[in-house]
Amino acid sequence: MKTFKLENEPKIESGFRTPENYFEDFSAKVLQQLPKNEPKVISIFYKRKTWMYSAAAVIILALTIPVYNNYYSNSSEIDTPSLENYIAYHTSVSDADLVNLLDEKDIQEMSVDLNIEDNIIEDELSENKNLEQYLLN
Amino acid sequence: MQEEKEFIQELLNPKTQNQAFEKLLKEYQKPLYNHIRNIVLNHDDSDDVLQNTFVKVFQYLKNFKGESKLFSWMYRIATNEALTFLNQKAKKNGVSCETLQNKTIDNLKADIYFDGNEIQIKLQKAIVSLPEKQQLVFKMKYFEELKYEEISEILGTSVGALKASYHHAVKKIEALVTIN
Repeated sequence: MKTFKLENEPKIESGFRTPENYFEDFSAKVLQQLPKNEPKVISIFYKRKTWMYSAAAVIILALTIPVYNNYYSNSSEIDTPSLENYIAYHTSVSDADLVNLLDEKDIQEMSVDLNIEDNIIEDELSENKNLEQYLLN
Repeated sequence: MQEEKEFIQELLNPKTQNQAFEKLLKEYQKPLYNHIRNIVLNHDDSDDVLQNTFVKVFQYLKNFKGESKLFSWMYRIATNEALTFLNQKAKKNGVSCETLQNKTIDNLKADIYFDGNEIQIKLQKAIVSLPEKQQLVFKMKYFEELKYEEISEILGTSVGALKASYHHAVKKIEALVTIN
């Protein structure tokens, strides 16, 4: 059998052919397929989406506020208004008891508050004529 | 090289783009078609792959860094597209690439876009039995008559390695054709 040698043979062509006018038509076909550089159209839904997300975020925040408040009102410390109300309506503490609770220092501080100068009292008395009636009674 | 830079600028400028791309098509459609056809073998498939190749070239032109030549960059895209196409086709048919190629070669005789004789069919059969890289190198060197330097740029392999690959391919092909 004769040994086959590529270099001894005349050049073997691939033998592949194309239809007639294939390349002429091909250019046109490809040019048609190319994506056109049209201005970008931004869908209205895209913008709406952003709004929907913001609205959802606000709603979620609003819903969490009561939860947040509840969480803190459950704390063990009693707030001032509750304490005042309790004392005002449910207490058996008498004025005498309160007086007993005051020590010397408290009384002194209170007297400082009441330390009104004499001339102011006098002015007030002279300007306010109705006082005479009180005094008479 | 300067000319090529200007040409790429024309391809990227929306005003000159269409004209420049037409020029690119005219210049490269034939060599790229032959390259793809040598890989996928059948005309209709080559047509699909060639279209995809040019569409990809158009899409990725803005990312083309100019590190390699436009010529080798396009050949690389065409090679990848053709090989991906072959693998997908083989997968779809549930056979190996080699089986698929053998079947295509058996059908070549009936292919109206093939006018080869017995020796061409034998040669194609021998090529299909080679490893993928050797097939590519052989086809690019023997059929497409590209220079080793060009093949090296396209495939990213050194010229020395390509010469060795081609030499091995020729030896195997000669042995196979002699037996058959």
